[in-house]
Amino acid sequence: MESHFSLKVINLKKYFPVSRGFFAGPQKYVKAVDNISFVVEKGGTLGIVGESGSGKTTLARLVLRLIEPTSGSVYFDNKNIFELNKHELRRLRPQMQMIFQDPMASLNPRKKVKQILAQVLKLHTSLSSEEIHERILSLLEKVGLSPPELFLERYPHELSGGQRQRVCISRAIALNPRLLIADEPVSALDVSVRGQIIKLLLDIYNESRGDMTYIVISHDIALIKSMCKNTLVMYLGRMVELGETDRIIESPLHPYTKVLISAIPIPDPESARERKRIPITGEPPSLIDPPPGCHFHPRCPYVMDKCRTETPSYFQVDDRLVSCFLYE
Amino acid sequence: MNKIIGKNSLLKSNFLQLLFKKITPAKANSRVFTGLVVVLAITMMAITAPLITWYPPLKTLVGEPFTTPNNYYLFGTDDLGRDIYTNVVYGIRTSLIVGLSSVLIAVIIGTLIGVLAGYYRGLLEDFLMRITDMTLILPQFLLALIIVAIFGQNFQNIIIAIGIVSWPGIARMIRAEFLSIRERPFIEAAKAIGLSDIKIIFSEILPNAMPSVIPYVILQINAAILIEAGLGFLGIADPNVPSLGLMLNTAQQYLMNAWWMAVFPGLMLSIIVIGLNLLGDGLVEYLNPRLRKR
Repeated sequence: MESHFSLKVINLKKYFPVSRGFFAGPQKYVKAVDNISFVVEKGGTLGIVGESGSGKTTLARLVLRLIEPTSGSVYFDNKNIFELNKHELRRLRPQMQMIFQDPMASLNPRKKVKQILAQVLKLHTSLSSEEIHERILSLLEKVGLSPPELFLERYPHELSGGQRQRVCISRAIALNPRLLIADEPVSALDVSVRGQIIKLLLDIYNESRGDMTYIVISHDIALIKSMCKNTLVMYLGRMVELGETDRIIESPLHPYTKVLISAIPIPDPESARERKRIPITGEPPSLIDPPPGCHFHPRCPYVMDKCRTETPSYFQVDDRLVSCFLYE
Repeated sequence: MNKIIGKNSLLKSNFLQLLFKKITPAKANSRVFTGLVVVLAITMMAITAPLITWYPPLKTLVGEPFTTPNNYYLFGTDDLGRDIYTNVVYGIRTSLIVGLSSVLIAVIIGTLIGVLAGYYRGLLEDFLMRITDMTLILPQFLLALIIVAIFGQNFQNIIIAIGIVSWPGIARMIRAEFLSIRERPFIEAAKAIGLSDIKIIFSEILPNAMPSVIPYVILQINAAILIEAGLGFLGIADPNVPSLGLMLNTAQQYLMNAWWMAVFPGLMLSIIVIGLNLLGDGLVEYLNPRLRKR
């Protein structure tokens, strides 16, 4: 029964209550993730783009059940991960891993590289300590930390930014996960090492030959373009557009996506001059009191009366989903 | 060959220097160093007490009562003819035992409560922290006094009483550390790997909380020693155990004609307290880079 689905997210919501004064009226919420659904097939790649505060990271944490949702479900191999108990979830953990935004902060500062990796392997495998040692060496080699012996005894603060991210990646792939979420994998890194890390992630993906599913979160469309077949665009917790990355970049449908795409810098000044940039007015609204109707309407150049009051549902255009009344 | 020997001797001569580079930052933290030396010396005295004294402790009439300090009775004798030097050395032992064991009790209770409150949050946290606050507002010394008065003046009860009044500070400290560390991304990474709560608490969070907790615990040992001495000074002590506080209590009656009875125990108590204080305070500064002087 639909066993080829690797990951299915249905109507996922996460509302964070805002703490206010005792007499301050009704409880308000930050709708960090508001009714998001998508499917990633086995071996597929999905990019999630959006500006800061649009709920990208919250979505990733929900998909791995690092936080509990307000409502909705995530099916991993037809199992709703929110219905699993602690024990079952822990057994599923090795199959879904995440690479975090800040490699320095996501490594325990008091553990050596060796201990960080051994911890994962000890937890989920029954290898002997020699085998674990071998595995650690081959993992470090695989992520480009060679000679691996040199890095075993180092603490995270003794590594460079790129090396730290490589350690994080090796930890994430140590157990051959089937789902790998990379949350802004290069945004904390020097421009000079970004390319190498992206190449490493792509190599790992290609080596898995369709066994691994990637979700890449970024605010950088160029990065998404180089890594992901499909793209989900988020704005203030809602999904505005979902479809093939190349198509979205070529002909964006949603006004927000249009603005986003037109903001990508073009390295060639000649063609940059020819391009028409769509100016965006205003600033991102407050998350606590988002505009009613379509969240984007105060900044939208194509705004209609309807947009101010009604929330658009998803309309299908070709093989894409768009949340905009222009395509009703 | 010569070269190697030269290198070795260089290493040896620099060994102490290197050791302290490891313990102290680039600018030698003289407070930690002084405190450490004093504390180590005192600990050595306490451990080797039977070897460096030559009268049994608490034994009366080992000499004439009120003998002034001389070669046989280094610090003189007291009203019952007990050797003050012997009792001071054994008194250090008592102070350290009380300090360490009561703080051990406090650390166990405090860690348990702090961890539960700081890691699991929610109603449990509110409940535990209100209990902590309630214990905290009671004056430590009076509370210890009352506990000993109720349960009886023996050595064990004094240790337990001091342990019971010292845990709230540790609990608050551990909770505060947990609140901040549990939000750091490497804890989320640990959860993503599938570590159990117990492992996250003890192998991920606690080691990172230690740098702030250790100096505080050392200062707590200090406070415990002072409470013990204070209780002794008020006459609340186990008469079968040599105690610096109890010696001061006796000494005050004879202050005019036997100064040595008060001076030596008092001096030793001050040295212990100053040593621990220097060590604890210095460590706070050393382990917290923001407080470190430029």
